[in-house]
Amino acid sequence: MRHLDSLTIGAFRGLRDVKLEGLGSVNVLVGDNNSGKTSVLEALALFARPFDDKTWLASASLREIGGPGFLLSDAVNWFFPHSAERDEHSPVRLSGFASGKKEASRVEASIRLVNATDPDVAGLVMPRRYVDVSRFLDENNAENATLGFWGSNWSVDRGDPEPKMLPLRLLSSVAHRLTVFQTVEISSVLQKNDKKPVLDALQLFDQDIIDFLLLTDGDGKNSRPYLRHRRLGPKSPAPLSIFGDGLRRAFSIALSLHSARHGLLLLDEIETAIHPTALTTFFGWLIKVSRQSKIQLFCTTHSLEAVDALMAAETDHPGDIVVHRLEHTDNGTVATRIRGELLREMRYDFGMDVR
Amino acid sequence: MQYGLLIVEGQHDAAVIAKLLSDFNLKTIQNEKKLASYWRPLYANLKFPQGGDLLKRMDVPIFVENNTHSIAIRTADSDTNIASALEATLSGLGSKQDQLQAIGIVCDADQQTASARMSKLCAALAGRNLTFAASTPGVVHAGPPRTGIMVFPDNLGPGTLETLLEDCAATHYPQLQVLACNYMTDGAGHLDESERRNLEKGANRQKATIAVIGALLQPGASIAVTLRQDRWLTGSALAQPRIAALRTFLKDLLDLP
Repeated sequence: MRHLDSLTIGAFRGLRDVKLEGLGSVNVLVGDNNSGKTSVLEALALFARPFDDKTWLASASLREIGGPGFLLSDAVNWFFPHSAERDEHSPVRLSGFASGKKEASRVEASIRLVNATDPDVAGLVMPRRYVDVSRFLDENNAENATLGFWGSNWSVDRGDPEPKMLPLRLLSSVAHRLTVFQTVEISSVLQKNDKKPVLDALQLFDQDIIDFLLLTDGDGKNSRPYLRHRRLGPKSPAPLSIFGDGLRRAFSIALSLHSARHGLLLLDEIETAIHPTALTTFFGWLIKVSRQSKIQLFCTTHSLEAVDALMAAETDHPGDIVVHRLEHTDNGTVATRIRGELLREMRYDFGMDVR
Repeated sequence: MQYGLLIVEGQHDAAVIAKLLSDFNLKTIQNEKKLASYWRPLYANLKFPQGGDLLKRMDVPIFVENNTHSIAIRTADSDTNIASALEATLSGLGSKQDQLQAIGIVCDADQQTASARMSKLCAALAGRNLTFAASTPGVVHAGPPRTGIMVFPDNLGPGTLETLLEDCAATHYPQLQVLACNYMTDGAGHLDESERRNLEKGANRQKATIAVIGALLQPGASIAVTLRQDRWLTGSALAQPRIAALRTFLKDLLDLP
């Protein structure tokens, strides 16, 4: 399923005028370290959901797990291209074509620094960064919002009703270890009785898993995911955290499919924690469920095994996979598109690397 | 360093071209450390088995190089794979393809005229959004990059690489050629109907003749070995019009001194 046909990153982080054209149902971003793969995922997220504070938060914390030293406002600031000469951040510019649309939509955002008084501590002046976001569906039709970030807090001021935005889930390569952030998704899955795809994913890795559930700790403050396992005793659920990384990663991705339904799923380092021999089976399942759930998939990888496994998993619609290779050149970053059929020829007929 | 790319149909074409280029002091590079890193995407991290074929050897281009030129000779395996081989190779090079100063294709006319063969090839290239400025067989377009398509045997009529090799055999191994031709004729009488049909198909009789001579020169080795190591493409054979035309094509295309 394609929701987006193309994305042009006019200006975002270190990327300038990077064009990703002919997007497929499954898009694989490859390239050297620091070539901008994760930045493309972040740009996609902000293009799809420019007025959504949670998306700004998820994008800003994709590279760094929030903790004592994490400053959200600082992380957001670096989305905005930095000019060394003038020591300032210039606006973010993104544009793209939604599938079937003849007119591109544009997202523009600028950031400004305001020194505001801290409401909690009298006399303390705290810098706040405000992001003014506009989305232009055509030349005469703009939607606007302002998001504020200070320290690790944020606010959002947008019009009512909320502008339409594509459902989206952005998953970092370590998200599966942060079970605390999965509880909202698990609750949603349980409420909507949508367990089956998640259980299917878990059972690809361990046939003895019977069920998953959310249990509250003794003090009633925190909930954690648990699994019922045949060999561990179905009446005694075991915490997800004791299971292997691959299974937890699969669980995390399966949950994110629920959130991304009818929208975009963005996976950083898709192969993380999954054994190479399990990749084809898992990707086959992922592509099948993504298709059923009308999800357009974007992922980054450094792994040729992952690229091969995606190809092997997508035999019915080989043209649906598109590789976008990012390369630094003297003229900036260039995205080279490798369509599915060519990808097969390069790998199967000529054995060539595509990264 | 001038980089050039040649896409050829088969291993024998690659061997002939590498041999001819050695006259321009372009040596075949066997040790990876001595090869320009530019070509790394064409051989690094190759996938095996290619096309799922366990018996197929890894498809690594022949690289020839001197102080000023570095040339990759990629085998397409068949005439129908030439366009895909070119597109895959260019995609593998990525943004570095802009540094290619020459791109050439060498193929057989087979039973067609050279212009008919070239038209079909150009259509296949266009189907992949590969525009090839060269429009006449054997003529190099100035570019950049310089481009050209050489159609064996002579950029005019039907034929294959073996037509050129017959010219070489006539120069250096005329007696062996007569004996090999006689052997073909006599041997055909001992073949069954299906085997005889196969011998008469396309350029197979010419291929068998060259193979018989090659087997005498390099017993147990492939034809590529005898083409590289024996007299086929040396001395007065280089003055044979069809061989001379191929040398001129390579010289013009690759900007060789």
